[in-house]
Amino acid sequence: MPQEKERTLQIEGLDPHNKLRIICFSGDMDKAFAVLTLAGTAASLGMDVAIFFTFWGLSLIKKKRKFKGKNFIQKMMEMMMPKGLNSLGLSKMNMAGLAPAMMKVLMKKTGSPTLDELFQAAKESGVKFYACSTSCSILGIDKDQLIDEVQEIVGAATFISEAKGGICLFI
Amino acid sequence: MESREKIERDVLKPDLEFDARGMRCPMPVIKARKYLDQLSSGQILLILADDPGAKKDFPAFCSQTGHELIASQEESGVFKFYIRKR
Repeated sequence: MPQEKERTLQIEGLDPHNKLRIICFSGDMDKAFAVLTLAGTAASLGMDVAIFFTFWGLSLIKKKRKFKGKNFIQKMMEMMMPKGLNSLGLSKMNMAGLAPAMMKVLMKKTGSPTLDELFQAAKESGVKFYACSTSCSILGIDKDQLIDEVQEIVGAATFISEAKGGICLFI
Repeated sequence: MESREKIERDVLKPDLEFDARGMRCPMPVIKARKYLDQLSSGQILLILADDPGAKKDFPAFCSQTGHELIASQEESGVFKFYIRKR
């Protein structure tokens, strides 16, 4: 399959190394903007784009809260972590969740895209989403708890071999 | 006397127009690609944008994607780009 993709890219006159790989480590609203903006833009510029969500970054791709099947510590973590893309806090000046609400007002006022819009745009431009296997096991997160757009739960070796030759960002 | 705008449109004859005024980065670029997807090779898309980043973003978009930026201009904060699909 990857060879086939490479061939199609070559036929289209595009560089097979024309790709962007983002490691989304943070679960903060402001950093999520950077991740989704760059991913969607790069995909629109014809690049092959994938985001690898790990640790706090998993909050961006969670569909719902889930407690079943988790141990005590994992349940505590689940309680304290954001429940999804729309409930992320700011990395600075969060003011107990007040600031993200103010940010949303500002964005609406200035015509800036919301996280949801950026996510949709990224998805429609063909960005691929992966979740890190170890972070998922530590936090007790399984595939059902993640949004359907997540293609696979993968490990570090997959990421490294997939990322080879492309632009890599750690956010 | 004909307006510059009319002359421009008569000469360049855009096949499709995308009004991205009011949109902020990265939406003009992301949506522009969708508009270009609707066109066939050689057709022209006219983009109007007022995001300050658009000035350099569209030339970058064209050099990355291979579409041809055939004309661009700025008029009181609004950028106009004529892009020919490759």
